[in-house]
Amino acid sequence: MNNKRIFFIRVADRPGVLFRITSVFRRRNFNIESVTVGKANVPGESKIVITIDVDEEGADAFARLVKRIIDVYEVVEAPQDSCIFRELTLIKVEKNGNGLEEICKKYGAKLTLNDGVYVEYCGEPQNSDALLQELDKYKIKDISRTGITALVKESGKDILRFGH
Amino acid sequence: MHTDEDGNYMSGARAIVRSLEKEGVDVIFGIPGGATLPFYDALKDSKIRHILARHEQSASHMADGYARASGRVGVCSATSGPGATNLLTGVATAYMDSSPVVAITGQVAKPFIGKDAFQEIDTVGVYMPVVKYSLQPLSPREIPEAIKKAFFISSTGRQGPVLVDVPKDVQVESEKMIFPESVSLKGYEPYYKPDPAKVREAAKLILQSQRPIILVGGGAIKANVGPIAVELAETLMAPIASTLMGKGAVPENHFLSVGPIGMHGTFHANKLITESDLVIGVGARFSDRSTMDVNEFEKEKMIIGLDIDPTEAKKNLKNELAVIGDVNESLRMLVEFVKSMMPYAENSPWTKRVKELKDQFEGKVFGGQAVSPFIIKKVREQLAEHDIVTTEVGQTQAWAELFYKALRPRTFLTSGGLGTMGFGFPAAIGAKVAKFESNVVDLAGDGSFLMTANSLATSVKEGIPVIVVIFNNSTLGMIAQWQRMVYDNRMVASWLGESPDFSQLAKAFGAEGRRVNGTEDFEMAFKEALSNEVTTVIDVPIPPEENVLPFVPSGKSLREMIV
Repeated sequence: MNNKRIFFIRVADRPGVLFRITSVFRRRNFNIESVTVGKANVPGESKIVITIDVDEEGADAFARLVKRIIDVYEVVEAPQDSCIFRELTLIKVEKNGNGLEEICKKYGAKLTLNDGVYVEYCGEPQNSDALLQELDKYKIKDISRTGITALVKESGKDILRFGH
Repeated sequence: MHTDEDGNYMSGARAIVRSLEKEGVDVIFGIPGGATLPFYDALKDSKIRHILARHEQSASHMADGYARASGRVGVCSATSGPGATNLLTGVATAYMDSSPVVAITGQVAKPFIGKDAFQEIDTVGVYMPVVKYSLQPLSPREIPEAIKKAFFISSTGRQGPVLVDVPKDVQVESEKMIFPESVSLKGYEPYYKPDPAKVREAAKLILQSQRPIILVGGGAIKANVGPIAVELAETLMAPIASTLMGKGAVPENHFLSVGPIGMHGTFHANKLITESDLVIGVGARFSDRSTMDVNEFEKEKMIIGLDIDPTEAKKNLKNELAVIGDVNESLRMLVEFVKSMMPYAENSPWTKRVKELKDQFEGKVFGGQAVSPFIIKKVREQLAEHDIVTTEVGQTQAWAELFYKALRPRTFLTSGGLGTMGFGFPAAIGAKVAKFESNVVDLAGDGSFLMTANSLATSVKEGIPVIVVIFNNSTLGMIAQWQRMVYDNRMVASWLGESPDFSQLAKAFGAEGRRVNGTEDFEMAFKEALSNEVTTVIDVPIPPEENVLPFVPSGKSLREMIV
């Protein structure tokens, strides 16, 4: 079992908020594995999803420190196992070689052949890793990964919640 | 058409001033500059007093001293760029000690932001880690709400400094203004009601303990819980120790008061907290300087922490029962529970132990004759209960921590968290402005005093008389002490020498200055200073080899005091 934990942070949609939040982790020398930001379902709010490698005690301290930031409305923190999580990976390969379509089909990835050869995959990060390995032989020119975005499962356990 | 009424046109600068007036601000400490000229121009028409500092660091310490002495928000101001960076040290000092300060800085006009314009710095970015919040209104009409928010955030919950950075063009342009009567911020809950179940749990721990000790911190002063803490102590017949920041929360002449714990705590307080089986922390954050080796500190005891800030729960401690909420309310509830279960304490072996140690060690000077404790006791003797001392940082601060008995809250002002040399003198000026009827004395080292000594000009020109007692050992005393005691006598860069002549320096600024010979001479000089109508600097020669004892070197536990 891994130690990865995911923070779901509802914040004011305002410049500087992300900076304040990431500084909480930077100050204690924790590396953020991924961060995604998007509009929330409430106007004027954004939702930030941060994944870090931290034990439960550390996560609790971080959650409190993040909640203390004034533009933060709510912090929910959960072990990765208590979440559904996905990552979007975009891959540019050199040429459309033999078998590429089959590989994409196998992974449920989308292949686009317009002005270059692009593979688009959405799934769990370890599947992205596997896909990337298989695509290696087609000469990967560039990749971009969004990092994890996630939602807490209905049956999720060990959820910490600060604020409302 | 620049009137004060809601809905009318007004310049941003005027709106800043009007907002400050509406907050009841009577004084601003600052230095004007290019990016605050419109603001200062608007200040010309206001009754708000402006006190001109000679360095922005002093301006922020003055505002901080004002806030600490009065409990009201202190306001300071600086221009963009170097003004803002100079101001920063005092703002960080306020942040570390949770002091309510609002800093207003000018910024270059919006079109120049981010272009490395003259005197431009990313003030909001630079201040980010040392303020509770920051605001940058980008149009004049945003100003009233920004200032209102700044005061609200600064003064509520766990207090702290707030930055308002106003671009010059936003100060110049006029817009229709609405001045809100109140603001609310989504997600900001400054007030927590303590959970009665937690308080009951705490009360049970107290009743189970044999050797409880109360530890009051800076939060006990802000929540003004002195009398309730005393009530709890008397109910339990438990000693009351303090942190450096908690000095004065409870009168230090109370028969159960044992003074501060920590690196430079009293012998008996450190001893008693080590021997205790339960620590009841009241607005104390269990900092490294107080607990020293925290694992040793926590050994074989339980700790209850009453604090307003949820992030303090278990921040430094593992065995903590945290009671989060308004400290005043938490403590009241706690006393009620305890009293309902136990009307009064018997004279226990613990009570005897407290008395025994207190009788033996209170006021004791370790390590032979030292001049500094004597001077501090003399200062205390001649001051009234409501008079205020500030300290600089280093040996003098430690001597003051040990020997100055603070008898009321907000009468012992020191930079505890950041440990800022140069704090004491400008903070004394700010405190004097807030409490003009009180004498204010800065207990200073020669090293610290010179860092902000140019505030002499402010105190003379503005007619704010304070007393500076310089414990002059011609060294950076605490550095020299560490070099003697921890670095094998290898003295490096700690000798300051005999420059300047502080009494001459004071006189050059138009203040009074006097170098004293011996302790009797000091008493005379201090008495005279109390009746002076101008700032007086008393230069007291201290032997350079004087060490502050007891002393717990960093990394050691409180039981490893060097005496």
